Amino acid sequence: MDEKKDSRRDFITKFAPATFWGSLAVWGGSLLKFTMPTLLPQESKKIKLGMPSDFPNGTTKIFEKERVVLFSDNDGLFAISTTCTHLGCVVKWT
Amino acid sequence: MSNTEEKNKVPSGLEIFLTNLKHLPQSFKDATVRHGPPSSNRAASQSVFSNLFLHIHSVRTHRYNFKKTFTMGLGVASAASFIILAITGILLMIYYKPSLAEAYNSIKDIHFAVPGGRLIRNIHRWGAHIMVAGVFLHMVRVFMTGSYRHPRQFNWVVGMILFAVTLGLSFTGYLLPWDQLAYWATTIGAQIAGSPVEVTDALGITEIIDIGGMQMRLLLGADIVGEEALVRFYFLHCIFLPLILVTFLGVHFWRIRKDGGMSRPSVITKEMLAGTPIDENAEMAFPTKNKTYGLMCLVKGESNNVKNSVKNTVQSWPNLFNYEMAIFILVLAIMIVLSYVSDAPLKEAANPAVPENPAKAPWYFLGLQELVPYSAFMGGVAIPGLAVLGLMLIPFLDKTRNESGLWFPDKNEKSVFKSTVIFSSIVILATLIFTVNFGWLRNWFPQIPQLIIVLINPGTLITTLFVWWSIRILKNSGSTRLGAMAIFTCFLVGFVILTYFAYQHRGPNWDFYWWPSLWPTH
Repeated sequence: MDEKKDSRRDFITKFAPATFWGSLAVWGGSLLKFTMPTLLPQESKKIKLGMPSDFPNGTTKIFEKERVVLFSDNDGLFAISTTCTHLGCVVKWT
Repeated sequence: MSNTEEKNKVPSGLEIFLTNLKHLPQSFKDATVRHGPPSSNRAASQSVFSNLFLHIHSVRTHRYNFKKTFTMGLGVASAASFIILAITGILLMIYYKPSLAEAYNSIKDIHFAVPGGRLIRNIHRWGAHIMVAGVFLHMVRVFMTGSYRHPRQFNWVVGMILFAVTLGLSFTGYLLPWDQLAYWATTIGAQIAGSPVEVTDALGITEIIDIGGMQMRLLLGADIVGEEALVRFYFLHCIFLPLILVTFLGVHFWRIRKDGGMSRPSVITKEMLAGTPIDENAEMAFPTKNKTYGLMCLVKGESNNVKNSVKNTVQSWPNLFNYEMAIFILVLAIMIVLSYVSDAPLKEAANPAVPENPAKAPWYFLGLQELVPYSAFMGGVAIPGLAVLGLMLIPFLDKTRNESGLWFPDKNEKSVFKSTVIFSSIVILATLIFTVNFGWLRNWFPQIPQLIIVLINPGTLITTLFVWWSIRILKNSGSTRLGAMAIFTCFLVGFVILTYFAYQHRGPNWDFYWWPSLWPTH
């Protein structure tokens, strides 16, 4: 019986600091979550550049600000981002 | 009778007040200075240990610490740079506005309109260069003199954290002017932070876990370098990182004392101490036995000071403080002269539509930029991460208890150093010459999967050869110290040559040019 009482006390003495570290960890984690942006404050990645009829076969149009190049040939109408996937520079379209 | 009466007369409250008022300057001085002028050894000691700031040092300092060819004052110079950077940085914060609309203009105001603004800004920029160089050279000194050994392993780790935070401070400060240089350097830096996507893409798991994207968004607050990024960098540069740096700097200084002062060899000859300050009293050698101790508590183990006598020590005040003030003033003088000679750069306002060509990172990242073209992840994340981790672990993998505090204490260290310099120079130069002339896998096999280039590129090739060489030396010599000497020297030579090459011989499109004057005009 005595043993059981002691172990309960032991449990509580160990548990008390554990609640401190536990709550600190949860709180710290929530603080870290705070720094992670969920709303990305940037222009939409969907851009209106014109109607398909504006780009007849054989045209190439570079949109510098939007960093997009639009061209159409026999295979269809293509839109390509000029932002390099490597380090984010702008690729020159020739 | 009347005399005693006068003596016994109790002064009125007003009189006491007036007497106190009259003595105010003296009482105030007594409370502030608490001891006489530091003209005797005793008063000098008191001035050190009764003052929070002066107590950064112990009362007495070993003469070996003053040996100029030992430390070269590099640690103090780094700390001095930080103090100067903090002062000039706080001043810049008065005029700087961290917003997309105002950042560039406010820097322009500081540079051209604010009285003294250009000087303050120049000192801040030069200070950053000097601090990074100082911290780096300080690390080289500590490694070469074997001063990371027991009991200083922990302080070496703290030093590596300080090195990383110093680079972080410099990188985050780079964006704040919001000019072309700042914008494109940060775009590249952020893209490198996001480069684990290169690996997750190749494995096809980016949809499940996008580590690179998370890192980049955490840094920029968006997917692009914009206002969010500017605010985050401003906060990191002015509040978060300085706070971390000051905290660890305090630990770094405190550990020096706790580890028994700076490292020094076990046998110190008179010749070694030539040119250092001397205290005749201490030379009359108080035997260690008679040293008295304050008893704080009873603990097992031995304190670092147990076997030390006062022999060969001098008063920290004024000797050590004079020495440090001299370094501080020298560092400040160098920064001011450089600031008058050369202005901190300020290019056109940031223009996201027109990239800088070439967009070069600050010089201490240029070596990495030389490795980044093949694989942003390997060159920008894996290899530098491995290098920092390896440096941090040196004292735990090399536990030899050889002499500390000496440059090249034996022939072996020197010969390993020399042969490693030759080996690593050949490896790096050969790789550079080869890639400049013949390109790399992508040029020969345009359809090759990126994962193969991530694994096999000049960066990983050089790293593998360096590790192979160091393991060979470790095996042949049977000494972990010599193995550490080999890998550290490889790192050092690699850093120097790659930095020089990227700084001097890389032009537009990262093509090779002998001199910047040969760059095509555009």
